[in-house]
Amino acid sequence: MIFFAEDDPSIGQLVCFKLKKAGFSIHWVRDGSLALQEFALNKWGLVILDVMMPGADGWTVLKHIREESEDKDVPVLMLTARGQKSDMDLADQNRATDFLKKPFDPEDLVKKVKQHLRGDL
Amino acid sequence: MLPKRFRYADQPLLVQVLFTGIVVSGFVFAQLGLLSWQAYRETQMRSSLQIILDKNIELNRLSTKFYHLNDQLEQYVESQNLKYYRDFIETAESIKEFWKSKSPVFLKEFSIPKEQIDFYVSKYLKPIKFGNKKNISESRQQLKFIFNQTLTSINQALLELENQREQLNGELFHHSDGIFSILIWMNLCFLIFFSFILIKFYRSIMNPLSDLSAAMRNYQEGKLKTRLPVLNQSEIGFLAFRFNEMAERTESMVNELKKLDVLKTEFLSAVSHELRTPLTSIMGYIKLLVNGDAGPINEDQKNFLEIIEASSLRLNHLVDDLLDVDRIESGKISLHIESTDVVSVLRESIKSVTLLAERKKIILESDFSDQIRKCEADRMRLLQVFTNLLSNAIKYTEKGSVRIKVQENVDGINVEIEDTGMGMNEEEQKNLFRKFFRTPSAIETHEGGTGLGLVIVKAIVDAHGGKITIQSKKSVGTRVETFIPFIYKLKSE
Repeated sequence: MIFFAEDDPSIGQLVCFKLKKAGFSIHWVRDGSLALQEFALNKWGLVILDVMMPGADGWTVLKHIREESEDKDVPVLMLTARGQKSDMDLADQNRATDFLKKPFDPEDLVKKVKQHLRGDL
Repeated sequence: MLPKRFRYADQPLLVQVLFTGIVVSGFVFAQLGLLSWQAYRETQMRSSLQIILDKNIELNRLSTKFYHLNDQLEQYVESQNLKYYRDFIETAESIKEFWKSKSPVFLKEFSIPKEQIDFYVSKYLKPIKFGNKKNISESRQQLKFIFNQTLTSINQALLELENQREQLNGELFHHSDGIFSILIWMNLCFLIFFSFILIKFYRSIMNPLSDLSAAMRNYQEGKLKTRLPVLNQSEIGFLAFRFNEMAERTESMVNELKKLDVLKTEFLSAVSHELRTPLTSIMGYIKLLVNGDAGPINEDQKNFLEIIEASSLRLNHLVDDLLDVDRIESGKISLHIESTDVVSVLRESIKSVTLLAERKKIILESDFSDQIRKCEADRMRLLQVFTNLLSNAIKYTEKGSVRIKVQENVDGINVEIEDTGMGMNEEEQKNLFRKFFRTPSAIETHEGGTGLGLVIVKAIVDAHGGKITIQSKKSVGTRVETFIPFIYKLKSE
């Protein structure tokens, strides 16, 4: 099961459509504060976080997962605005597993998900 | 703002100059007055001396006459000759006349017994004339006595005159001596006082001026909080006041500009986010459609979708370029330095433009080996540089080839990209690194471009400590040489 946080409905729908079509099950939350609440509800095979979100941004959610949650080692894929140094540094610092630069090819997303998803979940 | 205590240096320069002038002229007048007084006193004393001398001469003449009178009397008594008697009488008459010509004050001043002489002249000369011997010897006794008394008086008067003269002389000497030392002391005091005032004056100008120049230097170095103390209301104080006013205004203007810059950055990042989100959505859905995820599509539909995709990509590049230019201009371009294989970066760039080259039937010739030393560089940024340069070369070449050559130098790697394209004239080459500049022939090709690519390329190469040179000839081709050093040196601030 994939935990997916994204505030933009069209991108959310796109990702959900593509990943469901590729055979994954996905749980989509619409903003950062909901992501903080709902992450603890389940144990996830992979987390996909958008960076720019209302409530709490992707880095805050990632920090919460890595430092305070019960599943600190869950793989996390960040959807960043662009491959800038500051973003890459932030990804390194916050121990993101990987990142995908927007705009992205849905095929690349599927590849990255297949690469990082924990097999047993 | 006025200080409570009166200070010379706080006064307006005009007042300071006027005050100094008054002091100097006052001193000059004092000296002149002193000297004139001295001259007046000296003349006065000299005239007194002259009077004394005149009196002296007259008294001497009188005493000579008396001696003469005495001699004549002696001769007459000895010889009993009337001739001598006449002489005697003559002399006595002349003494009488002399007496008459002198004021009684003159005689009184020197205690000369006039009455006795008068008595002598009127009474005792007669018996001598009548030849009475007894009377004569009596008269002689009397005359001798009066004569001695008179001479003593005259001598005493002379002595007194001499005393007066000496005293006057002494006074005169003492007086000029006193004036002389007064003048010396006065000049000394004035010298000290004047130097003091001059130093004060100098300081009241020079100190604030050097403060001002130091403040200006600080201000120039960016310490915009620099202000000068306004010590007084003199011209210099006013200068400081004006400087502060200027500094205040400039500082607020700079702060305003800084705020604007922050606003611009915020605006740009907001715009880029707002643009990118719909672009991500558009491009993602196009991919879904093109990949057939939403069902099969026909060839026309596929073509149109690809056109939409290409346009979206251009829009996306524009957003990237605008953000890059903003970062470059605000000096915030940051490099993620790592050991980078330039050849592999170049291969990746070539791969990304291959499709474009194939479409235009342009041959990509590459001439390099894989055995090339790695550079300390930002891989993503170098990729951006080479991709940009290669796509430029392909975009502006109608037919022919693009040749890529890599050479290892002593201190870095030289990448040469040469095309057989439209080229540029010298005027166009000069403007090549100007923002939004595109050559007229480049615009005519209808190839997409923002005129930002080379600006970004140059900034990235410069940030690496590298160098980019472009040689071009109209209608012949363009050669771009990019030098990237092996060792990255952090630019000193």
